[in-house]
Amino acid sequence: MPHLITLAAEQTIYQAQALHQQLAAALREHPQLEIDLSQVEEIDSAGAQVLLWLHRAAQQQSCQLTLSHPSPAVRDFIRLLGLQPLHNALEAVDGS
Amino acid sequence: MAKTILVVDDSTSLRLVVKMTLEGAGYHVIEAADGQQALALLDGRKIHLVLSDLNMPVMNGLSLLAQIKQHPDYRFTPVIMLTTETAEHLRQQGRECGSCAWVVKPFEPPQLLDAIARLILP
Amino acid sequence: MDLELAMQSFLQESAELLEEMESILLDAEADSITAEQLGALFRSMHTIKGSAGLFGLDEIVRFTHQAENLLDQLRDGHLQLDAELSGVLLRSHDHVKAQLAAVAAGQAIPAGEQDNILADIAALLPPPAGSLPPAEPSSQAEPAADSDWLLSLRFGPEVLRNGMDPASFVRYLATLGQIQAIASCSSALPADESFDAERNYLRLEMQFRGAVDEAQLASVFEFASEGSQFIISPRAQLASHLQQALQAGDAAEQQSCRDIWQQWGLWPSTADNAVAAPTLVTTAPDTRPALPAGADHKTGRSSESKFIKVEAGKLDSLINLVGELVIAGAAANLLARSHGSSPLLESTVVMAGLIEQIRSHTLSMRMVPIGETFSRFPRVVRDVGQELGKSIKLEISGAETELDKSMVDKLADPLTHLVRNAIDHGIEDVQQRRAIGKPEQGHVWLNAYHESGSVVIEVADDGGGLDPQRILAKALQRGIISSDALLSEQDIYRLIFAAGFSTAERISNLSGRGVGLDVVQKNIEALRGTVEIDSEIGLGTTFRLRLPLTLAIIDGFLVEVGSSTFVIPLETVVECMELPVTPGDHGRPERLQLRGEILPLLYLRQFLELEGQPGRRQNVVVIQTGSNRVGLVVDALQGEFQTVIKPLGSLFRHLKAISGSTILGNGAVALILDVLALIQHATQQEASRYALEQEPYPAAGSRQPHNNDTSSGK
Repeated sequence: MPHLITLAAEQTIYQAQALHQQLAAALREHPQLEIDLSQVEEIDSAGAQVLLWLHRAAQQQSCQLTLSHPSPAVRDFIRLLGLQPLHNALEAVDGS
Repeated sequence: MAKTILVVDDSTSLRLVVKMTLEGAGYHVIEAADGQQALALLDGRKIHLVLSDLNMPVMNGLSLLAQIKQHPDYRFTPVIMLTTETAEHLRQQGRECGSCAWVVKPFEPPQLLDAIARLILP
Repeated sequence: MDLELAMQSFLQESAELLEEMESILLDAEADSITAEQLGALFRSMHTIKGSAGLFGLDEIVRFTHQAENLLDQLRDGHLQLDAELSGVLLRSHDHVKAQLAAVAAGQAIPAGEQDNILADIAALLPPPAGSLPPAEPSSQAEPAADSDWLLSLRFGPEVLRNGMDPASFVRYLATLGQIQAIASCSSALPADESFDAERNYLRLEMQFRGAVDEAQLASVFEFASEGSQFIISPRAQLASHLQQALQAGDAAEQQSCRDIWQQWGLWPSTADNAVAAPTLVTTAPDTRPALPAGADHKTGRSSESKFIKVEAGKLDSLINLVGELVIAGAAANLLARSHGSSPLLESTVVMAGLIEQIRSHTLSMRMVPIGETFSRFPRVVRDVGQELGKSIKLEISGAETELDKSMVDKLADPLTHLVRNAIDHGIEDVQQRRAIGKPEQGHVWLNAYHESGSVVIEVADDGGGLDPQRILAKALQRGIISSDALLSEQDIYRLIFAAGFSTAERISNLSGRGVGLDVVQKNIEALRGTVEIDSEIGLGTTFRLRLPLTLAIIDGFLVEVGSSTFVIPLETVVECMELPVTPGDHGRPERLQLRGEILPLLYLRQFLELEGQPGRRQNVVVIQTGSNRVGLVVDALQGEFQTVIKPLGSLFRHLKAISGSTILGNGAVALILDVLALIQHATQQEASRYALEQEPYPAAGSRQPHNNDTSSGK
């Protein structure tokens, strides 16, 4: 079972640093991570960057990362900025 | 949810017009007459943007800007300086303090709305 | 949208700013100016300019912009506030004031002295005249047809921390046109711990279509220009765009961008990239209408200001209601008294106390210090003095004296007139003053104080004084009086108020600008006030204006004549006594001798032509305004009563001795006596009698001194 982290409603620059630290710690401890994005109501570039970082860091550390249940806010934001890696990661989940 | 804009200006009439302009565009507006009053409004409520005059009694716009940029809950709030000052050194100071934009008064309402819309849409 | 309200607010605010500006400028001439004052001066023009722009008052913006530049130089210490600069600023003040007045009146903004002042300002400003004039409203040379654009947006690392999210700009762009393709390049984003969550690593590549020009697109990102690089080209210039865009960034970034462009078919594909990721080409989802109008959001207005501006009408109706409350309270008290219920009586007394407090607080809201009016006079004195070449020192005292707001407004003109007159005609030329050993600098005094229920305002000068002989001669010459007229000194002085007295011989056009002193008298009389003149040849003249407080509620003293009740304003009551009976006058002496002074008597019954016969014992109420005392003979005294003044209907306006009416606690109507008019009548009567007869005066007996502090019993 992957370690599940559910992100809170607000994922903006105000929370980005704390989220980064939380995810970095989780990455160190768990070989499998699932990030539940269903509760996210507000996300900005800083929040999205943390997800991009996680995506990249997980690849580097061979952690199996799943981004699941993206809320409309998350989907919209990914589309808005053309965040290809996140888009792909979500596609992969949707496809499975 | 409408985005909240804090309008800081010592001129009542200017605040009134700005408020009408912004509310007409769908923003929510709260007001303060100087920097000090503006700081008192940073009480945990959500503020999406600060629109501040530069020249004000009690606490001027640049001091307010510096304070906002140090406030744990508001340090990333976009701040637009709304002023008649065009002096480059002041703009520079503003940029160093972290102001986003510099809208020179007098402005036409569409200009102001345009400037704000680049940072937050209603 | 209540633009009218905003405009009112703007006009009022501007008026306050101008007033402050003027008072600082006048103050600062004598003393050295403080940084705070310099800041306030600057802000006055600055704020007016800022707000004027909102209302499209371009003329005012244009002018205040230059005045502001001047004040900016002054604030920064590049200029000194000397007489010249001060003069230019005062003229600027006047000009802006005139401009605003025109706006308020809905008239075209007058050019007035504008060009001259602007020239003078320009002369004072250093060669590269300050900053550029305010930006013209951006010319709308549109709409251009839709065109295609390529955007490479390399946002600086600090944009996020500065509150500018690249996403915001993208959303905004979507309101200008259509984002046909967008992709993020995040090659700069580190995968290790060096990742800084608040730093921006994103670069955006975009294809955009819209009816915009290059400058417009560039301006979208102008806020984020610091540390950023934005490459924007028409689609037609694809090759040069890609080249330019590739020059920026390291190899990883270049590769990442190439990948994106390849997916979009903008870059020739290479074998290396045969296995391309699925392309993400979307239109931006967030193409909301730019400005959903008409949203109605009630906001919690910050209630921080020390002052609240209230419509005068609201205050009037509040005062009216308080008046009714006073009456109702008095009625309840009467009822309680007649029922003999002491707990009820007690509670009405408590209530009366509270009502009294409400009353005085409410009334005080309408009272403003006369200083607001006085504050314009340093300027008047300075200007008039300069124009006439006279050095004048103005001394103001009693600026804190309060009177009704409506009165203050109406006093400004007559006072200005009197002050001008004092400088023009009162104070002698410098040579003359030197010749008679007076200090060269003339003095004008403005003084205000309260006296027996009136406000007294004095305008005094240390000039040559009025010469009764010359006035008489002139009045004769002008046909204002006949040669056989017998006039007291006061009467002679008063002649200068006669219409047609002073207008003919004016040398300068300063005093009153074409109107005579008669207008002053008319203005003051319209306020139910009087003008007294004291003068001493060679020493100076004092004009003394005596005005009622015009309060809506007064402390009244009730008297009875026959079945009618009258109210005398308590402040004017000096004392009460019984009318001494002397057989020689058929019980009706025309004057009393009171402590060695003659006291003319006025029989209210006869004066008002009331029916009925007086009782055996009559009472005298001694009333006073200024230095004049009169004994008012009435049947009975009822004591004090709080009185709400109701204006008389137009039908009764002509009744000179009645100033209003009131309703008594028992519902009966009582008329309020116009003491001023009564005293004038009585003293005139006395003067005419005095010339005819000489009789011994009966001594006043059985005095009943009246004391304002205690309720006078019957």
